[in-house]
Amino acid sequence: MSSRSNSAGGRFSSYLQVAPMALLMFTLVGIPLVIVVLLSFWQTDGITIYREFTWSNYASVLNSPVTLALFIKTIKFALITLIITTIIGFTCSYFLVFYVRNLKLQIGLLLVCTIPFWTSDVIRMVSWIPFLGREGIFNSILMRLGLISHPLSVLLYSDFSVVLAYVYLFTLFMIVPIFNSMSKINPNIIEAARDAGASKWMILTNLIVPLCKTGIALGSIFVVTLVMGDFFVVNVMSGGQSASVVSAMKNNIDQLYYPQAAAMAILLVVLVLLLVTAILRVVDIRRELAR
Amino acid sequence: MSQASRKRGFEFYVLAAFFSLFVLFLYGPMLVIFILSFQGPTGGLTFPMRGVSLHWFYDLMTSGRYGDLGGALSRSMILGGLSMLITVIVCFFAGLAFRRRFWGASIIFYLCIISLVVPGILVGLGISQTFQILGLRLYWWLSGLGAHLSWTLPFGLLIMFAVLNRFDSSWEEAARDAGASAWKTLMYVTVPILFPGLIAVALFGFTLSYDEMPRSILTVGGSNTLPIEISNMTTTVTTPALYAIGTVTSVISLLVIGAAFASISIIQKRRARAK
Amino acid sequence: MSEQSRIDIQNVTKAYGATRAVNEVNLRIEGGSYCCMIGPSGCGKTTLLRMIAGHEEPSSGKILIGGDDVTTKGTGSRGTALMFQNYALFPHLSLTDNVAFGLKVKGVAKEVRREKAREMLDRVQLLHLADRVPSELSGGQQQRVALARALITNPKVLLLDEPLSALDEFLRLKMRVELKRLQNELGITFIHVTHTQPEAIALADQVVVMDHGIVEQAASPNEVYNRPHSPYVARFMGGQNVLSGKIESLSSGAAVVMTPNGFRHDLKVGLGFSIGDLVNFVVRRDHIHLTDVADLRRNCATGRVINVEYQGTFVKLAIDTGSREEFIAYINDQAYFATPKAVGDVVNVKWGPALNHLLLGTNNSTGNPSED
Repeated sequence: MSSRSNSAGGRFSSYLQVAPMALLMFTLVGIPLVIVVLLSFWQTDGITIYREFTWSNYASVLNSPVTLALFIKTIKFALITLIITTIIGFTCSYFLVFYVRNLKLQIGLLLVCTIPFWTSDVIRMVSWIPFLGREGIFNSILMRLGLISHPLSVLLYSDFSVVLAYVYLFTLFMIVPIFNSMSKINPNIIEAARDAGASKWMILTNLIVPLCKTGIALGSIFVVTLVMGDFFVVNVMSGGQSASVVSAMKNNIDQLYYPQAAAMAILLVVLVLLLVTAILRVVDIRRELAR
Repeated sequence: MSQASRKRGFEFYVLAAFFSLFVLFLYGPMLVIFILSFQGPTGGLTFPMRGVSLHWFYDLMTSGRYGDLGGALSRSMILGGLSMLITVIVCFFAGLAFRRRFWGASIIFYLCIISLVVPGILVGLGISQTFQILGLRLYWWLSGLGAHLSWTLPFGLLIMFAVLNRFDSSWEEAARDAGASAWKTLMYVTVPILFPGLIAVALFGFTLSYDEMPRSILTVGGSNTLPIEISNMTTTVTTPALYAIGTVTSVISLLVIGAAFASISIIQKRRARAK
Repeated sequence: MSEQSRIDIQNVTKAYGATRAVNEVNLRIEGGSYCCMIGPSGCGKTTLLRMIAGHEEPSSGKILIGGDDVTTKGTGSRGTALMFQNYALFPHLSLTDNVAFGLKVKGVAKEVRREKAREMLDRVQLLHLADRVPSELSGGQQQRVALARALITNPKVLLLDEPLSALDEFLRLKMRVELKRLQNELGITFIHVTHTQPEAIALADQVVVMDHGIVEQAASPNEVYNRPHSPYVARFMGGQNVLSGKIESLSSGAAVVMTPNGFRHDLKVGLGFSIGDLVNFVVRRDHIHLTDVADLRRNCATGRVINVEYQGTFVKLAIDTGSREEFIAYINDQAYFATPKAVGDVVNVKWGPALNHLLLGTNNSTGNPSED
């Protein structure tokens, strides 16, 4: 009832209160992204940018045989990471919500899962290097156990290490939203299902998974956009052997081919937005969050 | 689940083991580089430890090989502090405004979402090109700060939404009813009640800025921030100095997190218990 | 005091877009009286209360307190204090500081305002908890703190938004007594919004029954209960059966009304009616007797029993008399148990002609015929 109070004066103060935010978001996000879109249609000779319209940036990006491979590779990384993080995120949330009795402990353990979020991604990624190298911890453990006779070189600087780092860095983006929607499930619903004779497995697949749809969707959006926006992990963890769309774009930028980089970025953003819309088609997150 | 609380079954132990493994997976590597950063002077990037020393920390400070780490650290701290301050103030008021419906609300909301979804380096490219077009030079404290705000503000706003979800606006009405002006209502009621939430926004504001790398690369101009320096080191440095800088920056992050959590819990304890 | 705290509401309308939450309300609330505003949710009673408190501004019309036009005056400076439905106690302040808040914003020195707050807490018997914070209190205690906080600035008018709705039955009755006692002591105007009829009748000097933003009836509880203005008021306040029929004969204001199920009733209608007019009237549910067929002439009804509820001191019989609404009779328990009835039995009831009361108002909505 109070939300509708003082309509005229309230609206004015709303504008005053939101003005700094609006101003900053327009100058720091709105205008720069419009510039990037424009940039993708401008001409360049590799040194200077000419503000004249051209399709050639898109043409060269789309005609390059590498582009399709890059996009496929990026989507592959995103999907593999998505599947693994969803499984881990769901299992951990399921344990926390339904098997940890003490509410304080439950929140504490969730916090344990989220603290790395506030530390440096770069350092967290670097911390895998002593594990994965040819002389790394994994290889020496495996050799000591006699499981392998020569060190595995596939562990570091490979697609494996890229995906491992993604999972390592981004799983918490899956745990938090899934935990959030799972902890909102009314325990009576589960009791009712058990009363009706449902097995644990049926409760899990017929009740809990559907009721966590919002969390899974939200987490998927985080993970997909994070993986598809990454250039650093793929560069370092693959030792320069693998590339994603953004890392290729970063190379373009380093060589000052800004318009091509912009065109590539716009294509990627379109793809990301399509994926996000597809996820939103399945789950109406805004409505679910408003509950 | 009440059934689980009656008797801990087989699944409990399986799931608990899974969860423990995940926590080990999460913290193990960080713990390892923490240990390895105390590697002896002859030690390498991995075990075994060849003695325990502060050699690599000393090396960081004194050797010229690693570039201007001290400058990068202080720039990152200043940027973190500025981003935190601006994020808390701007998001606090924006959050209050979003409680009412107003024209343009969804435009601002979607700009925030876009800023979170779009690859960070792209926002950096956009900001640097905008500066280029306007004929402005790139400075870490201007374009760099702007790039950081494009990252911290949307997060801050979303946190404010969550914080305000539990805020009852009849508190403000009660204050006005008792004769408080808009300013006094803000200072005596709204800010103190929301204070723990504002600390959370501050935590996000500082740490997201302090660790930000993709948006910074193209916007800081000539002077790098710490994450950029570290990411350059990952390909050039092959000594435990890399771990030492990792330990330093993680300890700073953990101190900030610890301070934030401690102050939130102190306030909440004071509120829940007799004075 | 009573002149100063009189409230005049003149032609007040509050529109939200096309809907009018409060529609051209004219009302006088005498100073020093206890006024209850009652109606189903969405009837505009809370909006009206919030306009008196100054939390909403009327779209048109005037509000006067003690003769002063306060329509656009800010809340907190018009001599009113609002007690919120959820109490809205400040979670970060001790009880003392909660109660002292109104003095703090007026710039009263810390020691002075704390002393006054402690006096006020003593008055609501909570001094021993003065240093606690609200989350440590029970609902009833929180309510008393909210009361103390509202009263600290010596308001002329205390506005209470559903003050008892969050309490359990036992506390509700207890607090009802305390509110009445407090109002007697302070001698200021209380305006109390509620949706429970017994609360309004028990507390009020003046009951204001609202529906769809309009004041249906504003009168003493006795008047509202016994002489409701419209079918809606009768149904909402309860205790009455609403009947309707055509005037069959008429002589000097006394009419005989024929209901569709074929019974005749004596009804005083006054002037301005003619034969054939359709009229609504009510019959109190108590004062109705079971009777034999032979006795059926006027002011009676017959029908099949559809429900029997024993209520302790009386028995509530629901009878299907062939009209759309069931006819309710509260029968004295001794009389009833002399000849108990079963569901499905046909019974006859009769009552004295003086119990029939004409309804002048036309609002025929069902309101909320709850009896809690």
